[in-house]
Amino acid sequence: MSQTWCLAKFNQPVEARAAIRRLLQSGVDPQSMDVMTSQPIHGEPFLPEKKPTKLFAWALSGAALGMIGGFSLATFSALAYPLVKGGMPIVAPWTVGLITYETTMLGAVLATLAGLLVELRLPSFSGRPYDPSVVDGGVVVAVPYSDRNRKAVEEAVHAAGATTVNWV
Amino acid sequence: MAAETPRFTEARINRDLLGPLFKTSAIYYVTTGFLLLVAMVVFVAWGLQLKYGIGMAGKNRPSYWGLYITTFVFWIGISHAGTLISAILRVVQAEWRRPITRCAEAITTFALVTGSLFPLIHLGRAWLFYWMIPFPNSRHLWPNFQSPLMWDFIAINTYLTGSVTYLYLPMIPDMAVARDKSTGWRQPMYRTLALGWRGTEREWVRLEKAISIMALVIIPVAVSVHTIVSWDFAMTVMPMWHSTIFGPYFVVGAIFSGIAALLIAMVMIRKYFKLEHYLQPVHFDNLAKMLLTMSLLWFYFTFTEYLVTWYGNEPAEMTVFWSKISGRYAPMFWLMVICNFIIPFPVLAIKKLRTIPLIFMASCGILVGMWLERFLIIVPTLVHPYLPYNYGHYWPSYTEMAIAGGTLGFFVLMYFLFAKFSPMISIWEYEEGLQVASKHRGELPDPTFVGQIAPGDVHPGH
Repeated sequence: MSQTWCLAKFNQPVEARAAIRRLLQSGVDPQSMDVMTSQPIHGEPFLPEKKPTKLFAWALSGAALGMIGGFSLATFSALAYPLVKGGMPIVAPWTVGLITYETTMLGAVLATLAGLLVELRLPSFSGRPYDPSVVDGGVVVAVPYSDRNRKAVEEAVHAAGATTVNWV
Repeated sequence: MAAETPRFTEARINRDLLGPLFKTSAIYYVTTGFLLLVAMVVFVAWGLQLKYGIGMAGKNRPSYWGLYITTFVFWIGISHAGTLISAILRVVQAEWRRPITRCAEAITTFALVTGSLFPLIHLGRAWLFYWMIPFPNSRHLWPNFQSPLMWDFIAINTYLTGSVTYLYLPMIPDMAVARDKSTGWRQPMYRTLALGWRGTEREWVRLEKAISIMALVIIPVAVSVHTIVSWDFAMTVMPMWHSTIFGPYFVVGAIFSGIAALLIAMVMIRKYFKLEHYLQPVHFDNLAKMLLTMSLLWFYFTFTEYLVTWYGNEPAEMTVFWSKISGRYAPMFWLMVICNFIIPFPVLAIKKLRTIPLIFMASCGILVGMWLERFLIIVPTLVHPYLPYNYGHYWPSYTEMAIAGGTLGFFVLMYFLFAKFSPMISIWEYEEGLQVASKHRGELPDPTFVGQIAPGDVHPGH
């Protein structure tokens, strides 16, 4: 059965915070709620972080993989078909260093992008609550509801000053 | 005088910045048609060169690098406008960066695409370019990574991948706005590009983190790319290509030409898409100061480069030196100095002269000067190798001129098309800037206010 959502829109974050406090008091699980805005909000978060981001670890892992890959590519391709150049090394350290450097960076870039998509579970084109009016400003609080707690949710968001409430 | 700053709300910002995406004027079609024709010149000329052979280019012994490599280095330099400058401004948290980052990042992407054409064109048998892709062919041969061509291939691909990613990440929330505001055939396109973005707190935290990581990664990559381009030259045994400052000299020149290109693009976008309230004189003023710094640095590096050659008094190098200072290439050399230093210095240094029209003209001159600089690094050296019996002459053919000149149209065309498809100012970053500016002024009841922007709000950068 698909989840039903209450999408309450507030003009100001202070109102959204008040609504969230009331919802938590009425027993709504904070992990189940979402807060949507048209821009990042600096300062205290609306909701506790479900899981801290590991994007930096993603980037480091990608860089390490890129480094190993680039080093192996430059080294083993030189050894696979050795070109003798008058006493110069077959595996040239400067060349290997240069290729390794670039592939390290490439690995970090690709892993950061991959990490972002994995952590946010994107792309995702259906099933998640969304109110398109959020792009014109304000804060939208998405709360899952059932017949059992619909009245409590409705009271909480209205008492905090929601300008519009949609039930989807 | 600065334009009067209107009251900004999210709805107004969305309307202003998405307007150019949904409304197309007749002049846009005419301009695009013209640019398409210019861009076609490149591909027609290239097609003829592919059909009749590389002999159609004016390259000959001893100058096997000419206009193609000059223009390649020029475009790779222009690509330093965006991602590098945008990343530096993000890392140092310069608030005034917000309206210019998208314009800058797009320049990088399209300049790299344009520049990347030239090694392919220069290869002659361009259909064999896949030999550079690292996989063993039927004879179990791998690409030779000791070839500078491979360094370029790897470095440019890394920079292009990083730049496209760095351009795309901040575009995701704007694609979501476009998705919610568009109708018809555009909606599925923006829906796909927005990836299902909703603007949740979790999404914003991760997006900002990813952008920060990307900014840190892309700066050393950008520096490495132009350093590697300089090493393409330094690896050869040719006079005047071995100074210790050759790498940084290239990077300084690249950033210099990049900022000039960015200023030109900003003037055009401001005028064409009527974004005077968003791209304000303060943004041009700040960038012009950066341009002045780079002009001084460029002059210092050029002076040092030539001074050391002159002091060294090595015969082969002095031949190249005098060909530039007072010989066949002297008109180009002195025009370069005029365009890159003598004109920009007073225009950018004197506050009264630092107006948008004069900055625009100085920037155009700098692009001419920087193209000449690339030409003067390459051609005088090639036609004066170490052994005098190899001296020669180089003059580009019509095919080379058509391809090199036409890429300007190709670049502007791609930039123009991009401006019809994505807001040229990052909507969410601009709104965030207003929020930060208001917070600093202590005007708002809630320090994390996000909704309608307060009356009398300040412009990012003020």
